Amino acid sequence: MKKQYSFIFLTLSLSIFFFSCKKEAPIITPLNTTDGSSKVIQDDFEGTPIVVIGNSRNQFMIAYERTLEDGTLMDFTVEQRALPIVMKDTEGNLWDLEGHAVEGPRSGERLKPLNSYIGFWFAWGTMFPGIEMYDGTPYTGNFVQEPPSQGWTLPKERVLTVLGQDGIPAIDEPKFETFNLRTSIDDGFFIDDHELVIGVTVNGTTRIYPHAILNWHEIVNDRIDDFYFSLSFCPITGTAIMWDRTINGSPTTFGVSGLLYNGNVIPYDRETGSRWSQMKQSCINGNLIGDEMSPVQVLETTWATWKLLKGSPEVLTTDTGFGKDYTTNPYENYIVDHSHLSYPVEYDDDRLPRKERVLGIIINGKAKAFRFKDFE
Amino acid sequence: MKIMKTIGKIALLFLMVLNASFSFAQGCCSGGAPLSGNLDLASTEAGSFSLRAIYDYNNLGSVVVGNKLLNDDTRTRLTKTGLIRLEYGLTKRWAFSGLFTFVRQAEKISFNNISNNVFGQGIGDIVLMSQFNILNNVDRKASIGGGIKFPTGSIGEFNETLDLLLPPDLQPGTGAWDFIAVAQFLENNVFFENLNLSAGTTYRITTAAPRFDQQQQYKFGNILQSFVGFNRPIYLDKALITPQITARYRYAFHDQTNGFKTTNTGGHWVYLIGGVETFFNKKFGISLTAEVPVYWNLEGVQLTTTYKLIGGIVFNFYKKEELEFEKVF
Repeated sequence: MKKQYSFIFLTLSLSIFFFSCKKEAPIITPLNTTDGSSKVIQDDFEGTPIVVIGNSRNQFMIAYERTLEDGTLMDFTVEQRALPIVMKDTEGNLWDLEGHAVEGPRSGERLKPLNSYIGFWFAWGTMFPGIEMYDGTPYTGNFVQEPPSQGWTLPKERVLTVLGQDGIPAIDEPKFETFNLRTSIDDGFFIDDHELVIGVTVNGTTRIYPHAILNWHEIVNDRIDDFYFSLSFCPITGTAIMWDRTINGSPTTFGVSGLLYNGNVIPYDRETGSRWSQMKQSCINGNLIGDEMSPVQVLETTWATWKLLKGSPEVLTTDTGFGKDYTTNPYENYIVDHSHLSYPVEYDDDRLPRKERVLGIIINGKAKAFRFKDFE
Repeated sequence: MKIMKTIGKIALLFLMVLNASFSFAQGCCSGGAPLSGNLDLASTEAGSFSLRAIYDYNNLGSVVVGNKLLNDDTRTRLTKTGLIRLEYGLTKRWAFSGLFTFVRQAEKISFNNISNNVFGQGIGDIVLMSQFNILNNVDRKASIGGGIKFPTGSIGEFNETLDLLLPPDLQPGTGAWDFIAVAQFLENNVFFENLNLSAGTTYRITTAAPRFDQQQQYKFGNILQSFVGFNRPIYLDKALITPQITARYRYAFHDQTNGFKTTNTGGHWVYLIGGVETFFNKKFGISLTAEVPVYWNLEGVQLTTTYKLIGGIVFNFYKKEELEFEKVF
């Protein structure tokens, strides 16, 4: 009898075990990494002549106005040289990726950066419904924007709380290490060549912020000389935006509110506690409601590309003061899995795969998207 | 021979647990009342009724990547739950139990020497279970059971300051129906006199529930748990004191968002549980249990239990005299 009951018990347990053995294979789509050299696209958007330089292999797209400060409208063509030079104009000037004339009669001048940044398609599709596409794919949706809630510039019901305020800790005291190609080989520098990083040059100082660190912090409150800025990266929407963090005449810091709008991070300022939409680049709730950010263009590309652009950039180090594991990506294969979204959005534009990275250009509150494919 | 047989059973149980740990893919946790340690079957005898009042304090302050514990103390979650468990033995074969909860889910975030506390509280989900005793005698008991978790807990609690819904893991309920299957085995006097063995397996099938005001369907991963424990009752100064030690294995499948895998969910846990239960007479007892994870292997990055304390009081009501207690008291 004893044996019988033990047998029944074990059989039941094993049945439960086998019943639970169900595996699901993740769907992984590779990033767009086709080979190819840089390409220059001249376009016109909202009456503004623009030039966009892109390279699918090196994973960069960046946009400038074609009209110089003196009113001259420039015509650009691609210049297939080693980076950082990417294009030339009809006056014989050579221009680098950061928009500087590095050779020719206009040497030292700079193109006016456009308000533009790279992000996942779904984010552009929902934050700017009906966004125009450079390749001409028409918008056939009929999305109707819900009215804003009282005290907000957007429908509050679409704002989701996913964490407590500062549950993702911003970096307020960033530390940098000056990269040196020669020594880094010996030291085993912590960023791999193919990894995406955000870079910005201010007053001749170039700073690099690796995705690997930003994934865990989302905001870095930094300064170069007297310029105080916040750099935010939203891993859910894949968007990196930098802005002047001066409020009411004095610098403040921004933190992660734990709120999302259409999956996009909502930073808050520690001066007034107001909440800001990263992608909308404006204050959406709080004392400063309606105020606009002063965005600064950043260049998002691979670490290998940045090394070609700058010899000795300063790189944000993993010495952040937080016990995070920067070798782990907390978002796993989210960025390459187009099948679903982590958080609901107001409008799911199906013209492109959801997580395809596109460059959006914003002029007069309207947006236009460029794909890496446009530069192949 | 008896010892050999018992060792054989234990070895089989461990094999089963180990087999499970190497065969599964992914999995996880969080949201609603912590029911994991409270789904064992009733121990009441025919015609008797018991009421347990339990306080469950769950400190989730460990950030784990895979099987590595990070030195990250930014965020801590505290789940404080009051549970009432009612058990009724209808016959020698059939017993029923109900679990009623009140949950307070709090989150503490420490940043720049400032603490930010948010909490949600309310009535949690209710579990009703029935069990059938395949074997029920003085030395041995084998039972199977099944139950349903009803989505009675609120998933619509608001942060009053922001007038926004609290995050799902601070809601007292999950909004989901769960279905539970349990198999449990008890044997007295294993290895030597008065050393009792208990072992069991629980499987919880979860269903999807709406989140974020119906904007998303979220399903917690199914959960498999197995445990093996020993206790040894000691009669001391008119009290029956029963120290116990248990190893519990938990496997959680990954959660699903709108039918797709949710990152940073699911995994394997092994807990060591030590406790003592004291009966001062046959009708009244108290218990105290501490639980710590001793092994993890989790999917991605997860905030998980650092330790758990459970205190309880038990009231037994007998329709007729229970012989076992008569022997002791």
